[in-house]
Amino acid sequence: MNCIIIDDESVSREILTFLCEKEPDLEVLGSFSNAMDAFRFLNKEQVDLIFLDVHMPGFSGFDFIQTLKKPPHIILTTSDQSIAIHAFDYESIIDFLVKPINPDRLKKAISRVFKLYKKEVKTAPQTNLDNGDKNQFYINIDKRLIKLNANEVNLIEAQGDYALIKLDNQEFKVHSTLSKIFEKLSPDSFFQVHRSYIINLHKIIDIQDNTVLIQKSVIPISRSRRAELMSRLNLI
Amino acid sequence: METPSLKYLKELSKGNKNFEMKIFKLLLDELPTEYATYQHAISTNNYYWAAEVVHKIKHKVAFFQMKEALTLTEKHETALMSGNLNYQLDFQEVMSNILKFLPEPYE
Repeated sequence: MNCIIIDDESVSREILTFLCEKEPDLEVLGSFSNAMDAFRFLNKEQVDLIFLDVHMPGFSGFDFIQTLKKPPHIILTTSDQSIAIHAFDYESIIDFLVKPINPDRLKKAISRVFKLYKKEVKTAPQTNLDNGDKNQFYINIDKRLIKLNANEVNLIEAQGDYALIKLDNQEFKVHSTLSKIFEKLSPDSFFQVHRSYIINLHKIIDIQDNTVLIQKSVIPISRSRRAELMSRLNLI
Repeated sequence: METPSLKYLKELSKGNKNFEMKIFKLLLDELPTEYATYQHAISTNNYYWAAEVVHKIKHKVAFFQMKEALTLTEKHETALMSGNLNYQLDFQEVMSNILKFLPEPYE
């Protein structure tokens, strides 16, 4: 599970970051002194939990929640206990912490969110829909569940007991076989060209003899699969 | 008047000196500046702005585990939000106490 911290007060941000980084199941992606910077970050990154200061100059924590289309879980931080009553108006607020933060109370709040997070991950769809643009799946890396969009995957390469999932600027090594991964992918978009390679058909740049170029990777095509690969392409 | 305590910081850090130094440096850097901003806000009769600054300083007062000082600071914040200077002298004494506690050159 990951989190960000939003608080205009630097000491509060540092304390929360320090305490959260001690939690084994929690990764701090960043801390922000204002809502706008946090908002920009949330537009780019998937965040599971926000520690949100209620009282920020010009823009309260509650205002911030209302700007989010699909807010992640939220733990409010405040020096005013009476704020708690407003938290019930927001489904995404799971808990609130009174400053100065009590480390044990923080642990309880994180644990509460983590239980919800684990339930959500268990019920998250593991298989793709047939529409390639909506394909998503989760991979388990260092006890973290990372969501990948299938249409961003270029190719998957078998490496012993592992498989290497390659995107444009990232690679993920997962403990799985190619056949298990292939079950999760849409056959409209993915094809196993070789016993060690699955490719995304939408990412083919060119095919020459018995190799296919996927982004900058030259992938062998096994003789037994070449004909089927060619039949899948929209050849003129 | 209570004296500032580092008990909370020690409880958090559990001996991590780097963390303690980081927090202490932030306090040293920010508190005098925040207090100067408060004084400027008061001198220009911008009580709302002064209240915002007192709100920030309040967290640091709480950090030093000064309960009575915290109550006075909150009362001063509320007074400023209402447009008056009640508890200003008390707040100034709180700040004087804390700034004396911090090492030079802030005494």
